[in-house]
Amino acid sequence: MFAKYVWADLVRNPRRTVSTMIGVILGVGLACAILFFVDGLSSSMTERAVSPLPIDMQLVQTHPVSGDVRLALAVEPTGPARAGDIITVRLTVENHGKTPANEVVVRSVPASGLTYQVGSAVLRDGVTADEGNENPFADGPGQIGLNIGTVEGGETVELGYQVKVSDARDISQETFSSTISTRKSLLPARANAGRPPDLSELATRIRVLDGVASAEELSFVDLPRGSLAAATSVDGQVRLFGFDASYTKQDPSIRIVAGTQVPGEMMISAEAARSLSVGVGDSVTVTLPDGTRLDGRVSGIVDLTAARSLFASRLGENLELFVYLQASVVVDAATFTDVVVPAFERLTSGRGERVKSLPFREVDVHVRRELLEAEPVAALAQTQRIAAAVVGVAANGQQRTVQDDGVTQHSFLLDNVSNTLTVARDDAAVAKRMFFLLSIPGAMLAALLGAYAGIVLAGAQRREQATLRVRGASRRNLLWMLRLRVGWITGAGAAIGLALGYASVAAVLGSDMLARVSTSSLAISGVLGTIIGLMATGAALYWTGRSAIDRGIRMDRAGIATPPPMWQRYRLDLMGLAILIAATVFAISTSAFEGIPGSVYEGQSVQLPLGLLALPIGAWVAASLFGGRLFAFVLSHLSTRSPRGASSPLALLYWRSVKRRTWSLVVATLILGMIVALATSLAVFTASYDAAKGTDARYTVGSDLKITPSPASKRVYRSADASAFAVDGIGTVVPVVYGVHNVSVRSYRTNDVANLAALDPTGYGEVAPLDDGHFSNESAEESLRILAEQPDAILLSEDVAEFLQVETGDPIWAVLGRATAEQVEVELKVYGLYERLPGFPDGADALMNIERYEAAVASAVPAFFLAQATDGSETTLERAAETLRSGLGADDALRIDTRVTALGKDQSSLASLNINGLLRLDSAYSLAMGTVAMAIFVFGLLLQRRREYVTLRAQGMLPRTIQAFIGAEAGTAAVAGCMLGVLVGLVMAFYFINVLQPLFVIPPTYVVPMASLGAILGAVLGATVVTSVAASALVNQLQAMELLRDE
Amino acid sequence: MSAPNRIEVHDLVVEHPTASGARRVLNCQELTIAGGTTTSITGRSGSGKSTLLGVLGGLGTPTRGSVTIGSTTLTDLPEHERVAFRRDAVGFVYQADNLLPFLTVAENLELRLALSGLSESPEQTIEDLLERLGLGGLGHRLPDQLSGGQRQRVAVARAIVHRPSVILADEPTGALDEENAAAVIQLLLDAQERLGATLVLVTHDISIARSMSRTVELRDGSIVSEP
Repeated sequence: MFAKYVWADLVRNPRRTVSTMIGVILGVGLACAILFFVDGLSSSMTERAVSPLPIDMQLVQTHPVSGDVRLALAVEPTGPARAGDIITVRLTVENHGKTPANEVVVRSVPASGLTYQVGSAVLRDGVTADEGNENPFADGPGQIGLNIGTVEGGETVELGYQVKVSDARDISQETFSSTISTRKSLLPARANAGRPPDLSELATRIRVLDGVASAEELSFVDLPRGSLAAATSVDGQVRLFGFDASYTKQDPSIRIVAGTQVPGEMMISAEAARSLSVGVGDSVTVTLPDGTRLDGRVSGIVDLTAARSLFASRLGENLELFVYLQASVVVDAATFTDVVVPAFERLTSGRGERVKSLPFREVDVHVRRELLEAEPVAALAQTQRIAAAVVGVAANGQQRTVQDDGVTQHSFLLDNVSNTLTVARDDAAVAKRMFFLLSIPGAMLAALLGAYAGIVLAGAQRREQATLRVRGASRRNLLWMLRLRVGWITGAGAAIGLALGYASVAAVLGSDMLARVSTSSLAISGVLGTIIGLMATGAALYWTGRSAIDRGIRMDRAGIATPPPMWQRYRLDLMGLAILIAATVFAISTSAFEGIPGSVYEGQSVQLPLGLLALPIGAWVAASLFGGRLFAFVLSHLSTRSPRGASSPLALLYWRSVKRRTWSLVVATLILGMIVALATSLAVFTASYDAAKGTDARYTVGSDLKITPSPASKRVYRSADASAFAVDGIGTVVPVVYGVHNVSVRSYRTNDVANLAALDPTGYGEVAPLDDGHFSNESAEESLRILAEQPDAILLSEDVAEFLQVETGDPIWAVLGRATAEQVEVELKVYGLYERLPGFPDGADALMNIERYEAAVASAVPAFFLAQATDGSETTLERAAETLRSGLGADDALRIDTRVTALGKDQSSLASLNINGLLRLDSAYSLAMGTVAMAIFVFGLLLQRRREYVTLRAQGMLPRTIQAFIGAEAGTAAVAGCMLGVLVGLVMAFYFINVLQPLFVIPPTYVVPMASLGAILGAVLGATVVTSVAASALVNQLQAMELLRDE
Repeated sequence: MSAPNRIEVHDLVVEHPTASGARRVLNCQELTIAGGTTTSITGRSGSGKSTLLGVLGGLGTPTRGSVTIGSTTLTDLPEHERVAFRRDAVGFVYQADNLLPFLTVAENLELRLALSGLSESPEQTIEDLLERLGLGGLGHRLPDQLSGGQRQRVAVARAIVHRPSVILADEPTGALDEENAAAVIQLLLDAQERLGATLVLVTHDISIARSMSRTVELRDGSIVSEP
């Protein structure tokens, strides 16, 4: 019965139903859209996280030169044993390799409850001996085992002993912990371990695993100076690589600039080729440390300057550091296995030999990229599955993890991609929480809209409800009908809102991006968004409806003025402001805004102080309400004796109406102001975020462009050639001499190798985005000025200064041109310290003037040039980059990085979030809400005051004057709402920016996008004009006499 | 030349669209009300009384026919001229007072004067009028602060403050007790006499109808009785 009545009421008053539902639609739509948006962006976070990875997974061989010495263990008898039984243990050492194994140590420790049989130990050549009646294979407190000396290649050595069972127990091979180690392989290997799988065999077996795009063998070893020669030899260390053409094919950073890669022949780096004056077809010789000579024809010249996969450090302390060596040789994998590895085996097996660098051997695995086109959680599940399969292949069906007793496995897996995705997954979770919190204002706005619509429409239903009460409906009946009405409206609104949310995100991000998101994630977001939107708007509608019913029952006729709201009476706005100010002071004084910056490279997800997001939301509410209080104060203190135009009907109506109906205008202003405030804060935040992203990108590059000459260039670019890069669109160009570990620095106390950058300080100050906060003593400008003026000045990073134990003013000595023929030590003075510098992703430990450097090392060649565009536009930048690529770059293969293409390794993957998309989304919803709020206000006025308007018509007021009256009130609300909103929005943005600053390397600055603000305000004011005109037109269509007769 | 406030109605038809076609709510062939007279219009609910009054005041537009007041054929005027005519020549009183709730008594009257461009010394005019109507000292009050009878007297004051030539009253006493009703009718009659205006009053009350010089009865939109 009631359901039928409510249904009929909803269907027969479609405009009223829709206007009530619209708040629900927008509320649920916005909440769902924001959550769907984050889901969609999660896949971009995956992409951002994995794109800088040089290698997805590395299966690293533990003993690359361990030879092939194995220990076989046999136990007789096995199974249940009684006390007193004798068990025989046989240990067989076999050297399957070609080179001798020296200092072979065999260790075998029986479990407790087994007692060594004195005199049972059988040593080499059948000798039976023991000292002090102890088991020689588990001798002494350390049970270090027995050194049986050298086992020649192909030799087998039989050993053994017996034990007596003290207590009954089961006997098996595991009862005797037995291992073997050699001089080449100091880490003990378990007995009966299978033959270590061959690297190429491993690669072949991994390659066929589901999800693996490629699995390629990579070996390398660093050789001492003079190891690579033709007519002359190259300066400095030489890195000898072993990989096949298939490896080169899957790694675009390995660039063959001349010739090809041919099995059995060699490729050499461009720098080595230039140094040796050899080309394709010439012969070179690589001399291995044991004297083995590797002669070969040069089949190709290769540029490896960008090959991070080959030069990224595998050492824990410098993991991922790009330690480039100019002289490199590439042989095929088989040559490395058959010639290079045995050479090192021979070397390491020799007594007394010391080898500085051992070969490093691994299988580099790349995961199929289409599997990673998903959010981090889903992508991580895929990579972990693949990693488990790779480990399974390496384990060869055996359980081989690092054991408590120190026994090692043959290989271990570095799962870079999973590690990275774990960080991205955590970042995505932070993003979801962050955006969830950011969706709260939207939900609150929708609730406000719902409540506002509810208040306005409750007035329209007052008569109907009174009629129902006259016919016998009780309060309970009315509330039940209200629940039905709210339930149906919110149910239908939520369904439409959910669809709207999905459609709006698909429009902003593209449906492809959403299609990558797992159904479960979308479902969770949909349910969450719907619940948020529903609860907010449904509660608002119900609450206002219930209040209206109770007011009707109390026969509490509304007066001319909306009474002051509860928050005004109880001064909640003032209390809120006081709490906000106190919380802000506390947050600043405790550095709570600083958070912890995240980095996918450092394996650390960003940690945002998300609790502080309550501050912008608090500021939004408290400052808006306070603004409302001020506005009400101003309106109520207007003089009714208006100085001008008091006799004009419009002025008379307007001034009295705004003065005596203050709160209806203030409520509209407040709602509109809150909408504008949210839109403003998001616009400012987004502009600041984008600007900070751009600054971070510039920081990564060092300027707008970074031009790195290829070693294969026909010409050598010296610092004097910087002007060659000053093409159209480029202003200042700064040459930078730089290298990883290119200098040795010494203080009175200690010394170390370091990365030195030598550049023109003045030019660097112009082109680089320096941050004073990154300099310890002076400002950035002052530090660089000193560097320019003081010939002996050097600036040090804080880390290096701490290591060298030096301070500003201390002398240090630097070996410039390290490991070259021009190596020279110079005395310098520390003039300043800094935390970090832009343009050096691998870090710059020291900074000096390039003039001084070149005076010391005449052959110094800049590693790269930093260039600043003539303006900040991407068009100019792209044009300049293209000019360089097609000009000098066409001949000399320049590598050109720009701030647009830069990928800061220090940034969190959250930095990849498409905040512009969020702005578009939020702006669209804010504008929709603003329009709806204004429409509710104007049409609400029409609903509530239609009799007034008709009375004015009857008294002969012209329609255009009535229109002006409606427009003036709506305009006042709109203008005041916009002013209030912009002011509050700017405050909110301050909090948003500070809370989210850990996302950036450089603290973001406050950017106010005037165009975006203009668009927001224009849309709100435009909506005011349109709705006012529409409402005025409706006044003329009202049935005047009917309304005027109504009591 | 006709009197400036003589009302003539010819072939006046008002139809309202409904789902089943147009419904005729008024069908008044001929009606002439002499200027400066008092006329009551009676009839059952829905007989078209208020519709007729609205059309006479230019608030409603007939489907066809004409209404002429003095020399002005209201139904031929464009909207803005009809509004201007209503503003200057017509004063309305309704069952509900329809006072603007955010304006004081004096301001409601001041607005009416301002609309008609009579803004010279309005305070004095308003004060005199309120005094005459027994509302002296109430000018500063808001309508909510008055009794029903007082509000209706203010409504009468608002209808006559600009000295209209035609006063149209639609059940002006419908919501009042007998005493207040009589007072309001007396006020209207006094004003009509003082201004020389034509008073047309819609009422259900026979005694009030008899206090007018002429009564017109409507039934189903048509005039059925005109003594």
